[in-house]
Amino acid sequence: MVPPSDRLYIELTRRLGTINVGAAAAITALTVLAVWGNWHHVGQVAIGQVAVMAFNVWIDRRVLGRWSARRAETLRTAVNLTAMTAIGHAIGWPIPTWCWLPFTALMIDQLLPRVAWTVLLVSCAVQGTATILAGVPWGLPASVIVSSLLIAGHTRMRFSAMSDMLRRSDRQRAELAAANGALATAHAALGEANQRLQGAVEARAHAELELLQAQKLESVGRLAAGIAHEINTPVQFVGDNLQFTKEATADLVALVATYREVFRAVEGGAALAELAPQLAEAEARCDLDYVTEHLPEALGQSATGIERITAIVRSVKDFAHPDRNAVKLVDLNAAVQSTLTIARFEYKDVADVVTELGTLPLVSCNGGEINQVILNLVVNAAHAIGDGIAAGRPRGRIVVSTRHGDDCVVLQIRDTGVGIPPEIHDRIFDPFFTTKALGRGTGQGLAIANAVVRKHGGTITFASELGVGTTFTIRLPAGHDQGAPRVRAA
Amino acid sequence: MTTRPRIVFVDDDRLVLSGLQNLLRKQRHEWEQVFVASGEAALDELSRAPADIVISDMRMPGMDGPALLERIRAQHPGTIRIVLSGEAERADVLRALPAMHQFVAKPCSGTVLREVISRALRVRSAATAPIRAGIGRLAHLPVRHDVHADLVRAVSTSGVGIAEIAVIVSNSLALSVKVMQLANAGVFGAPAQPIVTVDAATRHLGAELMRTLVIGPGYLVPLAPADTPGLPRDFFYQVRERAVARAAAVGDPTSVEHTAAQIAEVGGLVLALAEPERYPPLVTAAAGDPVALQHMERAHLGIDRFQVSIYLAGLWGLPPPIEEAVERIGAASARAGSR
Repeated sequence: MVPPSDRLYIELTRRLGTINVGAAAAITALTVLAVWGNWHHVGQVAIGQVAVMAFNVWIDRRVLGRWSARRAETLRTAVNLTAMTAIGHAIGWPIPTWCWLPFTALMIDQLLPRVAWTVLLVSCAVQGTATILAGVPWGLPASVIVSSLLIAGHTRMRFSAMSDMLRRSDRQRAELAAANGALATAHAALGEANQRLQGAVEARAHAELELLQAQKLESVGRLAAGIAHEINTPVQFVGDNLQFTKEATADLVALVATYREVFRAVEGGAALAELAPQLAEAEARCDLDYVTEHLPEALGQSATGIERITAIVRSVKDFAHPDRNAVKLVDLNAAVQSTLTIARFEYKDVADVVTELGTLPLVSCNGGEINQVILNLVVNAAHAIGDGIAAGRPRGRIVVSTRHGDDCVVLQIRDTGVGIPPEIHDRIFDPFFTTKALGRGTGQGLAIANAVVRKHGGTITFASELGVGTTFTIRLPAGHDQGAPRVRAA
Repeated sequence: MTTRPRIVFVDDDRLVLSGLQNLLRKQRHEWEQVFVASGEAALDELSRAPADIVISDMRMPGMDGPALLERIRAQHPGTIRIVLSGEAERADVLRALPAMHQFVAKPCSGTVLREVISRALRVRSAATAPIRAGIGRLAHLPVRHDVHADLVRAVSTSGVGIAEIAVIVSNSLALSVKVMQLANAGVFGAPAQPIVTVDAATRHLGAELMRTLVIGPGYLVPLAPADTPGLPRDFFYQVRERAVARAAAVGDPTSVEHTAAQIAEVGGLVLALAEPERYPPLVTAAAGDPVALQHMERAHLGIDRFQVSIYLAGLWGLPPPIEEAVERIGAASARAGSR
């Protein structure tokens, strides 16, 4: 495995290859020119240079990349400098041979730290000593050696700075990759969280549906007791009156029998005056005064009782909506009326209920659910008023009104109850939030109302003042004119 | 005129009142019947002239049935308090429990209503005025403290069956009579035929209702010996032992006689609470002799404990066979004493 800095070095060497070869050729040519005519020397230069070039090509092709660059270059530098020193010595140190030292120093870099420097310094020392001994004035080798060392130091520092930059960029790339990995992990986690959230949203929708069903059952249970009471009362007096009618009729029949007896006796010639006491006694036995006074009244009241029972039973049927899950065109005013009838038991002891029903288009909604919303709000209104009465306030009033607004139908339920304290205004629609005593409510009524109204694309809002009362306003989209809207007068 | 029993009917529905008036028209000379449409009006009527019986609806605007009966309990304890209601919610019915003597479910027939009234008037005439007032004042059902603790434990522990609860109930004479009353009142589903054993009555009411009854506020109060200072500490155990011994002598635990034998002694408890001044000395003087005690009760209070039990059975509307069986037990005990 070639380390990245080696790769860079190899890359550099290859790129500099042409210059190196050109420079080597140029120095060689200059050297040859300097000894031109002395063919013996020319031959030595040519043979020496060809051998060095061949060696260098071998290093580039075969050794570099297989050995570490450091070993390869140390070998190359040592061989080249030795060859140059040998050639220089052989041909008597003409000026161009001095070019080899700085040229080689240019190649010195951090890959060849101690050995390369040693090789360079040794070469400098050997070449300097050899040339001075050979009679060359000392200024020339000294200048060349100093400039060579400068070049080597310079190159080395540049290379080291570049290498540092490379390492930094490597590190940055690694950091970037790590950051990328972290980002990918975060993304996956986000996706998972998203999925969980979606699951939770679905579960919540499901729970809301179950809540709706549960609250339906709860209100049906509570209403059932109320409805039973509302029916038991008329059944009581209708039964009483029926019993009375039965007895009174039997008494009247007995009285008529007595009258007929008397009639036949009078026909047979008896004196009416003598029979009068018998009639008076029969009338007393029959309780005639009471019966004539109360019998017609009892029958009238019985008819009233039957009407009451009929109205309740009809409202229960309307409220129950056998097709509870279907969205249909619903007459909201009729829904209000039937809900008020079956919820009568909840409010009749505490409040008078007034309806102000405007002319409305039919609303496309689930009638059963909307009934439940109205019921919940009316029951709450009755409880709020009941709380006020418990605190000594007079009988209250619930106003249920409907009107046709812009693109919507508005249903308002206004009570004169105790009001909702401002500090709980933001919680009243929360499931299970309740201020009612145990057994009076489980805190689902308004949560359900809110869920149902939202489901129908409507809004539910309220305004409340402590001690004055509360108004709930429901807006449902009037929407979907399926055929001409049937209009119902208030 | 003044000796006619006076009955006040209270209902916010005028049609119910006129229906009742028509229903009871044949008794209008026999009973003075007053019909009023509110609790307030009923209290006015009672302060004008005391009534023997008040029959009230539960749900009324303003003062409702339980509130009215509670006021009557405090102000006119001698008046018998009957609820006539179409109420179907058990919890609401239980609210009236402390103040009411009987619950009659709407709709009820003329025969039932007349029978309820006649019976109440009959048992009433058998009790003395101080006893009536003393019993009328009792709002809560006293249950021996150890039995009460057992009951609370039993209904609070899951897995305790209704049979086990029934056994504990039968350890309290007063509670035994109460469950018999409730089971037969038809509030909680009318029984097909009169329920005459404590076990059957408890089962009929069910574990859930027993739980409400036991731990609900104010229905039962634990009674410790310290609450009845004049009485011997083991008085309540003595009463209980006599009841158990008499019941054991009957044998068949499902018979009316067995139940009657158990609850015949409840009158002694009622006397102890209704006559806290006069009764304890008699108990002390009798020194554990039940027959001697019965004679002293008759001599000093004008009524013996069996007669009080009969009064209570009639007042609370227990099945008549039980009342008759208690009557036989009282008579037998009196005969045993005279021999």
